[in-house]
Amino acid sequence: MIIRAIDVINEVVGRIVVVLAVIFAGIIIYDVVMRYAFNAPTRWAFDLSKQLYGFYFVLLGGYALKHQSHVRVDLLLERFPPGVQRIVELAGYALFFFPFTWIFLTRSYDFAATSWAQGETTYGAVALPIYPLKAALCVAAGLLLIQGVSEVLKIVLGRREVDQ
Amino acid sequence: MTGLGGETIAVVMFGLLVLGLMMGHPLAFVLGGTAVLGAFIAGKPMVLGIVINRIFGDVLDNYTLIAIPLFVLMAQFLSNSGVTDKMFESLRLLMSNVRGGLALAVVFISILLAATTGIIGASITVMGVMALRPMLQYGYAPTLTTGVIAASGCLGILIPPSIMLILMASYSPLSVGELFAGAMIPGVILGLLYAGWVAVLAALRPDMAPSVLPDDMPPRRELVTMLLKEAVPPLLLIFGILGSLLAGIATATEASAIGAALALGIVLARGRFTLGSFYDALKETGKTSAMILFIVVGATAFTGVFNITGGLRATQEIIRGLDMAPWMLLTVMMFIVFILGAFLDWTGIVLLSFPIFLPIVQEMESIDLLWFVVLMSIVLQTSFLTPPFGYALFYLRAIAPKEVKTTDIIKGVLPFIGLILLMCVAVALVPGLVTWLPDTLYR
Repeated sequence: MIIRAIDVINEVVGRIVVVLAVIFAGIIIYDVVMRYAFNAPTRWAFDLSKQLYGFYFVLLGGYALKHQSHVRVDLLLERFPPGVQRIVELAGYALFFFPFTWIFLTRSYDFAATSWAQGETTYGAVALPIYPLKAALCVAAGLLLIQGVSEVLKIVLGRREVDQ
Repeated sequence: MTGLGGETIAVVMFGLLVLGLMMGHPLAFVLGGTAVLGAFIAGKPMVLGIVINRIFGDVLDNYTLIAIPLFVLMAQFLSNSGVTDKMFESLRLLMSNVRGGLALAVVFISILLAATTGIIGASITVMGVMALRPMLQYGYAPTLTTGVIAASGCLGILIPPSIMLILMASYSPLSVGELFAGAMIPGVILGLLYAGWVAVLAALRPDMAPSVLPDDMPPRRELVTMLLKEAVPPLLLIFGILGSLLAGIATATEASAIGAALALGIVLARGRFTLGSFYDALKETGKTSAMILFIVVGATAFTGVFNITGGLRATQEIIRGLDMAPWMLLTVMMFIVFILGAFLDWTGIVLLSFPIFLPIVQEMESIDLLWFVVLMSIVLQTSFLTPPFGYALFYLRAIAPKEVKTTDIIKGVLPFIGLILLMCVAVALVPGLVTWLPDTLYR
């Protein structure tokens, strides 16, 4: 139940966020065309495409984890009996994944909250707000953390279907 | 503030890194987790706030890195377009009376593909699907077959455009243009070296690489026309991307966006566009980009903590303390990169080694930084091929039929690892191979 709910959240977020690539590619091309063909470069393309790229990859962390896309060296692991494999995998999550995502979540929350309170913006000609992207960092950490919970539950319950 | 010295921190953090990798945990989180544990063990958990700041500033707020997802997207579109299939078919038929012709066709198409995409995987998958079975059927040795596909496929990340060079530029004082120009000639020569090796092997051991005369051979003229016609779209891409970038008209990011659009244009022009495959390309791009960039995030956290807790300085002092002649020191550094390549992927190696090595290299007046970085990127070609952790080996294992043993694949890549090291020696002896083109264009 929890597994399903978490997987659905990250799948939905992933399927929406992957489309951003087309949008920031489009913005960059629009800017190039405006600059060379019309000699009128935009004042917002640089900052906006950079922000969209930030939202794009960071929010996809949980989605990539769901699809087991993060590279790892599993040759050694494959040689262990399944029971040991599961314990080692769980230990990996306990020792590395959760400390990292927990700190990532709490520290980026402070980081975003400060920015939000200041109403921080970019220094470009057109000032874009920065705090949404900093907040996205925090949301991304949350998405990653809950996906980790889902993966751990799958290992414990022995229910990791190959879901590529 | 505790009494833990930089050396201790360095040992503890690298120990945890190795432990996490052995446990088969994803590299991105091993790096990030080690950073957190390292900060607490050093008694300085407050540095983690600074680390978040650095992750934001270096990885999210980074215009150059936008090129990574866009070059990945371009590669996805390109493989959807099926542009290589016919090119490979015509080239292999044209070379069918040459000994080892099929293997040579693999090398040449891979070089061309390498100049259009910036990732590995794209060409290994395409070549694996198109060339692997025919080669085995026609009696090519499984070792040579897998070796040539794996090694040539890796050229994609050395020959520009390359996402590895983009990341390297982002974490060094060098520009993407300089690095692209510097890696161009060594990359192409390495490809030709592979072709030379195949030709020599085919001459000495015809049993490993036979010539294959198909039953129904279309007229040569028709084949040449087909090859030239099919080569137009990739050549257009190469000129569009590299031309605009090296001429200084477009930044790497702009070139990557244009490249993705051109590749999509090729898909459309060939009538291969479907909404389903378009969306699949977006999803694959998302996963691959997140995977790469999360390693960058993890490594940024790792090096951030490593730096602030004094581990970085301690490691540099140890290296400086060796007091070796420059060439000896460089050899040691390259050897370290080579060894790391067996366990880490290139993203991790670049981000971990750059902060340690580059300041030391910059102190050495006789060493050109650009030359050093390109030399390292050539050494990194081996990281895809050396077991236990070699991307190219994984890709090939996934697509090769069961009759091909994993040991065949590993034996197959060994001579190519030798050729890569030979290329490193060549670049060390003749630095002009790297520096001539960027000098001509930029300095």
